[in-house]
Amino acid sequence: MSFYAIGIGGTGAKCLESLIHLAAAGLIPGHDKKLYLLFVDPDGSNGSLARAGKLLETYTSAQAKQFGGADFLDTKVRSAKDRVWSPLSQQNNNLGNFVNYGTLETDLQHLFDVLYSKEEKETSLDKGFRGHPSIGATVMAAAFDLEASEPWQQIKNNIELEINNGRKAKIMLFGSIFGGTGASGFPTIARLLRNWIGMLPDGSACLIGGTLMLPYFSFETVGGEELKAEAKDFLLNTQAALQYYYQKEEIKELDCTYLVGSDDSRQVRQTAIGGQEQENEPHWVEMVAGLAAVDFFAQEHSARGDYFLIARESPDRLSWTDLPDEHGKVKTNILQLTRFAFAFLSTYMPMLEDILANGRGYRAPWYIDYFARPGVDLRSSLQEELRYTQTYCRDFVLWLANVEYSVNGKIDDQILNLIDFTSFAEEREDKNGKRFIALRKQFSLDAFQNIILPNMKSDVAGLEVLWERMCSSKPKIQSNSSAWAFINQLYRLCGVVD
Amino acid sequence: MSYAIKSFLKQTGAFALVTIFFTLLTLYGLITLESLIFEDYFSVVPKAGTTQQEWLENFNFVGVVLALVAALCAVGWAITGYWFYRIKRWKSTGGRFLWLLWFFGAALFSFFTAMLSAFEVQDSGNILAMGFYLLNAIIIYWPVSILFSPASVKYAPYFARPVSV
Repeated sequence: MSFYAIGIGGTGAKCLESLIHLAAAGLIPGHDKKLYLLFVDPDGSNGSLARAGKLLETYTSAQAKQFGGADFLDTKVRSAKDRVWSPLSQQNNNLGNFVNYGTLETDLQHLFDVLYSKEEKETSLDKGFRGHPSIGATVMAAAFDLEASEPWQQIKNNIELEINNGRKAKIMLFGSIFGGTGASGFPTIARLLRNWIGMLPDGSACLIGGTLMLPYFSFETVGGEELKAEAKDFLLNTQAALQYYYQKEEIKELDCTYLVGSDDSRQVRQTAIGGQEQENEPHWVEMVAGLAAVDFFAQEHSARGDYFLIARESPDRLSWTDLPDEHGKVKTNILQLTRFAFAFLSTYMPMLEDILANGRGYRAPWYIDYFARPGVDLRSSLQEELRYTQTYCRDFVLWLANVEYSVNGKIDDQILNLIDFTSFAEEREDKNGKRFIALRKQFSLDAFQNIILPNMKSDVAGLEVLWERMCSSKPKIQSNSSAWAFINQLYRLCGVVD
Repeated sequence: MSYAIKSFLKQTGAFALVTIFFTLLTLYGLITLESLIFEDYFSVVPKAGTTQQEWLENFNFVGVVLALVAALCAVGWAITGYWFYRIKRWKSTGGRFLWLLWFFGAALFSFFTAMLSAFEVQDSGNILAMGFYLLNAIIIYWPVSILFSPASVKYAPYFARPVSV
């Protein structure tokens, strides 16, 4: 079975970011784990989209260097060559140009004038649909073409190939219900995909799921722009959209729908209409959205007509038991990945760099076992697979720290929820005096056993034990696979709980 | 029992057993062979007041003591080597320093004990005896530490290499 996830708009991109991390933690179900990702956004320079795109690039770059079997990054994550699909072209960067307003007949022009204001027609859409789904719906519906435009054609061909070979495919859509791009793209793309699947000879082999993001953050109003999204409209927009979905039965286009949100809408640090500045920190709600996709991928059958509800036990706290985790793997797998990232960043990568610079490899017996072999070039491994792994690990621990931080918006020993990130990340202030989370230069090694809450010191091995186990491991290495054999072994051992 | 204690007992226990094997080999093989060399091929001529038999008995006694000291040094290396890395000093080169410290400890103890305990001789018998003591110490300490050192310091001894490469 192959899985497809489409993130629509900035929030959709952040949900995909979460899904990539959950895939890295081995939470994508099945044996032949394949995940195909696509971003949909008219604002290609959106900061959140750029961060998710960079993460995807890191993941796929590391995976491209994999040799032999994989424990770490075992899900094959792929994307189209152009991983972002924009419904707008360079020339048609406002609604008026998009519909060729100037060449319309007068009656149609008048109709258009009734439906759209002057600002809506003329404002450049290079920073998205600015919280106006009415603009987005027109653009999306007209530009979306499974037959003629990439990357849709590629997705269509892949799914058809899967179904023709007797396999199944699942598509998960992510989008916010309260903004512009997600709110307009989500129902439009869902309906068009459903129409296409309905025409396939064995359309039942392809299921479509959707995760609609309800409001979970807010932001300060941006000055100087007429056409813009405003946080104060989020709840009203959401109410109207949900009413629309209910009346039009749009949700029934989907085999499974998840609605995820939070009533604790804290302000994001940076406020921007779009572009690079619109880079919001990861949020725990996006992790729940990613877990919704994991749940959908794991379902054996369509869940149409079924309604499930989960909620936090306490409105201002988040614990592992609050997260959807039918198979009991979420905490275990995230613990393993966290331990791996922590150990790799704090101990193993610096040791390898030190050995490359100063020699004396005997200090790290695992180095001799894995790297001091004929034909193994540590320098090149450090520039490639080990460097990609390091970059990924940094992204992961920073994402995880932000997920934790987003629950309460402050660091307080008394209100830690999922993890204690203070050993590897810290709170800093930006130039505007707003706080954000950044990685520490030096990790606190003693905290290795106690990152995941509640305290697990009694049954989780410390860094010393991990080091010893790495030194005791007896690698079976084929040529050119030393770095990955090392990475996989470290990852495996990080999952060992005594 | 914690993993650290279990692992310590397993690794140092195995090391101690192999050390005992090499020590017995030295005591019952090597020292006997060395005595035979002194008896049959290199007749030591002690100075007045000491018989050759007395010199040989002294050589055997000191040899046994020094072999046991070398064995203790080897076990000392295993114990300190095991705990050395349990305090997060991975980048330190101290593992090899520690190994050399115990090695020279055994060697220097052999040297000075030989100097202080030997009966005076008219030829170079004592120099050869000293060479044998050093050889015995090396044969107990080095191969055991190369082959069976605790995992975290297994390549700290000189010339320790992976067996399977």
